Amino acid sequence: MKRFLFLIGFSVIGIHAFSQATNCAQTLRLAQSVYDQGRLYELEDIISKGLMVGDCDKQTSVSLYKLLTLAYIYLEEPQKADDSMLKLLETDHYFEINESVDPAEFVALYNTFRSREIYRVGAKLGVSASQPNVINSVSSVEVGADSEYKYGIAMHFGGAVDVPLNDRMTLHGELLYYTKKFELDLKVDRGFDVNGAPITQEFQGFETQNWLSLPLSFEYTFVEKKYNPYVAGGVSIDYLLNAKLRSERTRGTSDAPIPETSFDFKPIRQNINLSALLAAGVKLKISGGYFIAEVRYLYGLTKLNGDETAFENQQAVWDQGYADPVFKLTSLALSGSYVLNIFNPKKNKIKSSR
Amino acid sequence: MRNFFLFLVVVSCLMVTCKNIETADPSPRSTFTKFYEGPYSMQATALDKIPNGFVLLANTIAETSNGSIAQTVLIETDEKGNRIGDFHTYDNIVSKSFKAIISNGTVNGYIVVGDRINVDPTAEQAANVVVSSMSVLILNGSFQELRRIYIEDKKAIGAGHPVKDDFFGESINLTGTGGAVILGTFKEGIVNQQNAPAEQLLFGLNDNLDSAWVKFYPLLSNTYSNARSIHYSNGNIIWASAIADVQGDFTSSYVTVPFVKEESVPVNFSTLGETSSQKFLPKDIQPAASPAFGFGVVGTYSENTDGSEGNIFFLRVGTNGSIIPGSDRYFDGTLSLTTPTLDKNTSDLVDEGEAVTGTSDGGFVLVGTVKSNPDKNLLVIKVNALGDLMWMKTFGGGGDEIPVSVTEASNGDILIGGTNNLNEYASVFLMRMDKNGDLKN
Repeated sequence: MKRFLFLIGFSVIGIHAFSQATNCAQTLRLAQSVYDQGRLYELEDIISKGLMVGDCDKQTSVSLYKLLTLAYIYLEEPQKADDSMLKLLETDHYFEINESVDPAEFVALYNTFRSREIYRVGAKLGVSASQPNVINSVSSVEVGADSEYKYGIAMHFGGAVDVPLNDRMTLHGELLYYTKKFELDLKVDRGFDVNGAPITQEFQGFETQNWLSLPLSFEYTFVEKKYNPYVAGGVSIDYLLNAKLRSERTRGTSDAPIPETSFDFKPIRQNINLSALLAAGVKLKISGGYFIAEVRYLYGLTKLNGDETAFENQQAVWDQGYADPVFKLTSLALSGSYVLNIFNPKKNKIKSSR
Repeated sequence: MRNFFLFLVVVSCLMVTCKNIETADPSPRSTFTKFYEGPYSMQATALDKIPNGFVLLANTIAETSNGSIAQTVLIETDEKGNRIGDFHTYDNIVSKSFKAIISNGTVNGYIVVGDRINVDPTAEQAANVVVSSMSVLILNGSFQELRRIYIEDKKAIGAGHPVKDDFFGESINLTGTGGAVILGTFKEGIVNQQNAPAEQLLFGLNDNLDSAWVKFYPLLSNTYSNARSIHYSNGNIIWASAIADVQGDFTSSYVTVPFVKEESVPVNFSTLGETSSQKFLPKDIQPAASPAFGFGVVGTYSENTDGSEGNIFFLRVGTNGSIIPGSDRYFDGTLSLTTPTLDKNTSDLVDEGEAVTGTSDGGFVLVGTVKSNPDKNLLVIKVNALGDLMWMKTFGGGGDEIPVSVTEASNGDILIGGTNNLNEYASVFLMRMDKNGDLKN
């Protein structure tokens, strides 16, 4: 019995949907016929009723609105033509005119509307390699050969906004939770033991910084093809949330190492950091937005620390032999993001000429 | 596509221009904390200024194929604490003090004073197991050894001389006329006794730095413990000592400032605390910036003779060697922050005074340690000409930071040399702070 009821219900719904589609399609055929016969005054009533009857599919609705708009144009009802064009664009954000087929009046009217997306919003996920660019070396130990900063890999994620300025230029902004890591290897050559083997002190430190990052950039799409390759330039304004140095120090083979310790370095880091950014990427149109793959280079413009705090963390200085060199931070990032197009079609304001 | 490659080229160029530790410019800052780490633990003993830099003196026990050997180490640095040249090592001397011989802005040599220690585990008499000789090491300006002078017991052990005497070298200063005066101690060998009372001795070197004279200053039953400095001016010699009265496990001590004419008996022998029982141990005496203001003395005072209530004390001495009454001041690592004028018997942490220097503003900088269990940290105290506290700062980490010397640089910065002992490995440190005790510039 239940199966029977389900079958009946399903059939009723299917028939209703089919009848609606059928009604819309019939309305479109009727409207097209009326339009072809030049009985333009009848179209408003036919199409309005057709659209009111039920849920026309998007393509049928667009065709109906297009016919209605054309009718209003030829009936010299500009306000109604505008309203109809607006409804057409609201129905299909990606409607495009065909200048070789569409009447010139329709094309002209279409061009008086803002039909492009006004902005895009989305999410971003990426990884970056960061490395200090040392401005002034400061050390509390006698730094030996092969002492160096090394890059570290960390993740970042957050939201992204695009504001298209024209076909090729886009203003781009992001708000990211950005982790940056790097490594420091400091070696001290202590000489040789009784067997002639070198004795080396080795400090290995890993600094992890978490930032709230606000990159702003201009993108230029130089080829509008499938992948829409672009380059971008701008600045990134970052706010430091926390910074920690985790380090240990080995002292040859015969002396006890200094065990791993974690130091809070936020007090000796600048809270605000500015970086210049250069980026290149591709934008692949997917569904109602874009998938973006990008490689980005961030060049630190401001110092992350000052000379005056080089010896401020006493435990790091006296236990690990670490003084804080003055540096800026550079990063190379790879990321992927998806942004969704947001439309708000409207009639462009016509500048009055006197 | 061409633009994309152009972008990568630009990025690559920018990455290449980034500087790392070794390629970056050194910081223009003048203050620093610098560690000098040798193959083996090094214990600092002294610091001296030379033109355009500093020299640190330290001791180490080096391992050789023939066993362990005591070595003295000299470390030369520039004004920024960067080491110049190798560690200069000298075998068989445990150093305690040194002076650079400077003439017309050039270092002509160094005189290092310490001990040569001979160990004979099979010796019949306990006092002969370890026998010390005062050792004076003379170097040229390039740290090359020229010769050594010893004050030692040269008599052979026999029936008439069963126990060797010990001699120790402790501090040195130049006379200003080419010679030098050395402060040491002498311990007479006593049969069936490991330790004997220490007597003071002065050893004079002539203009050629050859042995010129020796003068002993014996006490009856008490023993001396000399501070780390001696000063010579116009035939007058001044230093500071503790005179200790050992009775059982208790050692009560008091401060004395011997003031003698060259090769003569004391003309002044000022004391403090002679009539009470306490630990009163001076560790350094240095002149004020202006000679007319005499000297400042720093050391440790504790109401308990075991030092468990240690405070750092400072007192002033007049040009005639007399301790200025009422000039003694006492400092505790925590209490002095809130109570600048501290009663000498009020102590929170165990503090020990180690070294002092006069500063160009007429005051003094005292350095010592403050013990916050289990570690000793470096304590730096600035006082004015009267000894009143101006500021006090603590430095250090998880190990023991023990200063041995403090001096003022020509620009007013403060230089401190010492030992950082961490997990049983000791390195020498040199710290330069500004006149306010900050390491910011």
